[in-house]
Amino acid sequence: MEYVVQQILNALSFGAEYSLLALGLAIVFSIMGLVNFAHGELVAIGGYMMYAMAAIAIQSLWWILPLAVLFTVIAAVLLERVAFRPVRRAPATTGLLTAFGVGLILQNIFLLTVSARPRAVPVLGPLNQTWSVGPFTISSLQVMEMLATGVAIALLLLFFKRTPIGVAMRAAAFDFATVRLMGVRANRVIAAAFAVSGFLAGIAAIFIIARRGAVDPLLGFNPVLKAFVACVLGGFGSLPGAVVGGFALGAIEVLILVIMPQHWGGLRDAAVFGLVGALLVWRPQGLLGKTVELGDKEA
Amino acid sequence: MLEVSDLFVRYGRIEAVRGISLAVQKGEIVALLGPNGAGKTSLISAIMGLVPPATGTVRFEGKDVARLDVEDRVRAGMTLTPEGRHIFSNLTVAENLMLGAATRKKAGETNEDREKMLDMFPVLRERYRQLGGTLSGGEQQMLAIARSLMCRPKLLMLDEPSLGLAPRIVDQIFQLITNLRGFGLTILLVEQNAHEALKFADRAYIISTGRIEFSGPAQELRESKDLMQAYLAVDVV
Amino acid sequence: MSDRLFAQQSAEDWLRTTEGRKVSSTRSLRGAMVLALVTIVIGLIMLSFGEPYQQRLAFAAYVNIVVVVGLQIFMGNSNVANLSHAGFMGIGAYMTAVLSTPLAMKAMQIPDAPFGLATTEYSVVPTVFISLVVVAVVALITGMIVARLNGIAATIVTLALLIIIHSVFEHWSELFRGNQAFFGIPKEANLEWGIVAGALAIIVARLFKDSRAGVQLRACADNELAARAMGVNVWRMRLVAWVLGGTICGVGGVLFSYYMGTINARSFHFHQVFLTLAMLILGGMRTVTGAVLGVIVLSVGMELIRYVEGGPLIVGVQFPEMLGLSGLALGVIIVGFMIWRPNGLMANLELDEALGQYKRLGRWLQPRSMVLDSEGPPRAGARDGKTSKN
Repeated sequence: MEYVVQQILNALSFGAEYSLLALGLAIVFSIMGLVNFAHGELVAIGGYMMYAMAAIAIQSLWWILPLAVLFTVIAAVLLERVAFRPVRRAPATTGLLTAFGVGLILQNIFLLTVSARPRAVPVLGPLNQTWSVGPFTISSLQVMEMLATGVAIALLLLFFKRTPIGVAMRAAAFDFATVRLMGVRANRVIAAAFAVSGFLAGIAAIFIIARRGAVDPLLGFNPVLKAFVACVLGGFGSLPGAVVGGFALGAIEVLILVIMPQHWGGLRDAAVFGLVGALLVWRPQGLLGKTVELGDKEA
Repeated sequence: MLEVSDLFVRYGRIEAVRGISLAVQKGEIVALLGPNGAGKTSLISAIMGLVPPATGTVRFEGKDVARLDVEDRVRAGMTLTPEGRHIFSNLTVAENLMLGAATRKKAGETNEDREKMLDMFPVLRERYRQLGGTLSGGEQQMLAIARSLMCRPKLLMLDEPSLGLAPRIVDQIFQLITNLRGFGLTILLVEQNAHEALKFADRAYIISTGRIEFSGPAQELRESKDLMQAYLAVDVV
Repeated sequence: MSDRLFAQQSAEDWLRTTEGRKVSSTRSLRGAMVLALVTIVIGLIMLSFGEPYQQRLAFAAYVNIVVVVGLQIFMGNSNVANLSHAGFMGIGAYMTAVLSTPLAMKAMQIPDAPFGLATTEYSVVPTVFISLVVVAVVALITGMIVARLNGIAATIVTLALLIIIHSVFEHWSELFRGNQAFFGIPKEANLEWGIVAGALAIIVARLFKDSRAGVQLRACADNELAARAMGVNVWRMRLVAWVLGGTICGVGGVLFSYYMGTINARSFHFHQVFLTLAMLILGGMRTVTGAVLGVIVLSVGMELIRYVEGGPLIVGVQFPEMLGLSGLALGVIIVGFMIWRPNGLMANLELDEALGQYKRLGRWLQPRSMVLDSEGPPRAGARDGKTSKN
C-alpha cells in the first residue's frame, strides 16, 4: 500500500515538473510558433542565480526563491529580445535551430564562467524533508511541487481570463494578425509569452535544484527534453495538452520503472520515448491536439 | 484624411497592386469596387500595414504612416474590419469587444462605448457570454464591426462586409454602415456587391488588375451602364 | 497571407519542373562530379603532403562529409530538422565493432554477446553489408514514425530517437560494452576510403536531390497542401529520404570504426549532432555543396578554436584553458547564420551552378539552355514570356 501511494506521488510530482516546463514551451509556441529548445537553459539560469545568491551570503529562502524566479523571467524576456526577435518571421525550422544554438551558447557560457562540474546549492535543503502523514512517509518536496504547480496553473488561468494582455495572448494564439489589427503591440504579447514561460521555468528550477542539490550546465536539458515529449504527447501548442501530456508522461515513466526489471533501469528514458513514439503512430496529433487539415484557415 | 500615392504591392513575382493613388476626405464614404482578384484586399492591407508595400506612400491626416507597424496605425486612428471577419472564435463576444478596445486607456469611456455598441447591435447583447465561434455569419460581421469601432477610429476600412451573408442580413449590414456616418466616421468600403455599395457611397474607385480604372462620384458610376457592365458585371436593366 | 500566396506559386513551379522540365540526370551527375572532384583533389593533396596528424584530421573531415551529406538528404530536401543522425552513425560504428572485432578481443570485452556474435568474426565485405542493412532497417522502422509527423513534432521525435539509441549503446553492455570504450576493431580504413566514401555520398545525395522524389519532397517543404493536391505522396517521399540519409550516416559510422579501432558511445551523442548540424547550417542545407563546404570550413575552424581552448602559448603569453569555447563557437555560428544568412554560405546554388555562371564552363555543365535562377524555382513567367496573375 505504501509502495503504491509512493509511486502515485512520484508520478504526480514528475508530472507536475513536466507540466510546468511543457506549459512554458507551449505558450511560446502557440503564440509565435517558436520551439524554444533553449528553455532548459532558462532553468539552468534560475539554478545558477540561486547558487550565486547563496554565494554572496543571501541565505533566506524568502529572498532567494522570488529573486531566482524574477531573474529567470528577465532572462527569458532578454533572450527573446536578443536572439529570437530577428528570426520571428522566419520559418519554424529556422527558429528551432536558432533556439538550439542559443541553448548551446548558454550551456558553454556556464561552462566557461562557472565550471563543467556540478555546484552544490545547499540552501534549498530545507525544502527537501520527509514528512510522516499517518502511516506514510512522504517527501515535502513532492507535495510542494504539486501544490506549486496547481497554484501556477490556477494563476495562469486567471491571467488568461482576466487581464487584457492575457486575453490578447489567447487571441494571438488563434490569430496573431488580427490581434495586431486591434492595436495590440506584437512585441508586448510576445514579451509577455516569454515572461510567463520564464516564470514557469523559474518555479521548475526551484524544484529541480532542490531535488538534485546542485546545478550544472546541462541541468535543464533532460527535464526540458521530457517536457518536449510531453508537448508532443499532449498535442503541440495546446496548453491543456501540455498539462495532460506532462502528467501522462510522469505516469508512463513511473509505470515503466515499476514494470521494468531492475537491471534495465538505465533504459527507462529509451522505453518511455519508445512508448511515446508508438502512441504517436496511433495519434500523430497527440492526445488533445486537433487534426489540422492542411488548407484550413490558419491562425 | 487618407492619401495613397503610387502604391505597389508585390507577392514574390506577382504584382497585386500596380501604382495606385487615391484619396479619402474626412466624413466621406468611399467605395472601392472591382472584380475578384483585382487587388482590392491587397490595397487596403497595404494601407493598414498588414502587407508591406513595395513602393509608394500612405499618408494619414498628413502623417506618413507607410513605415509604421499595424498596431501603430491603429493607434493613429485607422482600423480595418478584415475580409472573412476574423472573429476570435475561441473568445467570448465580451472578450472580442475588450480586445477591440485594447488601445483605450480610460475604463469608463470604454464601458460607455461598449454599451453603445450593444445598443446598436442588440443581438450581441444576447450573445454576450457566448464564444465568437458560435455566432452566425451575420452576427459575426456585426461583432467584427463593433470590435473595430471599440477603438474609436477616425477612418474605418471595411473589407467585403457582405461576403457570404444572406440578402436580408446584407441589407441590415449596409443600413448599419450608413448609420455610422452619423458618428462622424470616414469610411473606405471594399465591396464586390457594387449595386448595394453605390447606393450610399459618396465616391467610388474601380480597380482592375491592380490599377485604378475609374474614379468619380458614385452617382456618375451608377448611371454609367458601360462601366457597370465592363468592370462590375452588374446587370443594368 | 502574402507568404502563402508566394509559397503556393513556387510549389506549383517546382512540380512543373518534375513534369515539364525535370532536371536531367546527366546534368545532375556532371554537377555532382564537379563537387566530388574537388573533394577528391583536396584529399589527394592531404595524402601526398599531409603530416600524419593532418591526415587524421582530414579523415575525420571526410567522415563528417559523409555524415553531413547524409543529414542533408533528409533535412535539406524535407526541411525538417533531424537530430538523430549521429545515432545512425553510431549504429553503423557499433555494428562494425561487434561484427568485425577479432574473437580474442571479443572474448575479453563481450563474452556474453547475444546472437552468437561472441564466437563469430566477419571480414570487411560482410561487415559493411550487414552493418548498413541494420542501419537501414532501423531507419525504416523509425522513419515510419518520423515521416508521419509534421515539422516540429518530427524534430522532437528525432531527438527522442537519439536518446533512445544512445541509451541502448550505454545499457546493452553484453553487446555494446555500455559506457566503456569498445576497442580492438581492425583498422581497415585509411584516408583513401574516406575520400572515396565522401565522393560517393556526394554523388548519391545530388542525384537524389534532382530525382523525382527529391524535387517532390522539396515541393512539399515549400507548400505541402499544393504538393499533395498535385498527387505527391509526402509520407513516402519523406521515408525514402530518411532511410537513404540514415544509411549514409551509417556509412560514416562504419568508416569511423574501421579507422579509429576504438569507439565510445559518447562520440555519437550531442556533441557530434551539434557539430554536424552547425556544419550543414553554415554551408547551407539546401545544397550538397553547402554540406561539403560547411564541413571543410568548420573542420579547419574548430581545429583553430580547439587550439585556443587548450590554453596555448602565443608569443610568450600563456593563455588560460578555456573549456567550452568550441561549444560556444558552434552556438554562435548556428545563431549567427540563422539570423543573418539562414540559407548558409551557398544558399541555393550548387558548386557547378555557381561555376556555371562563368560562360564556357557553364556550357559543358548545362548542355541545354537552362535558365539559372538563384532565387530557387525556375521562373514561371520565363516560359510564356509574361508574368500575369490571372
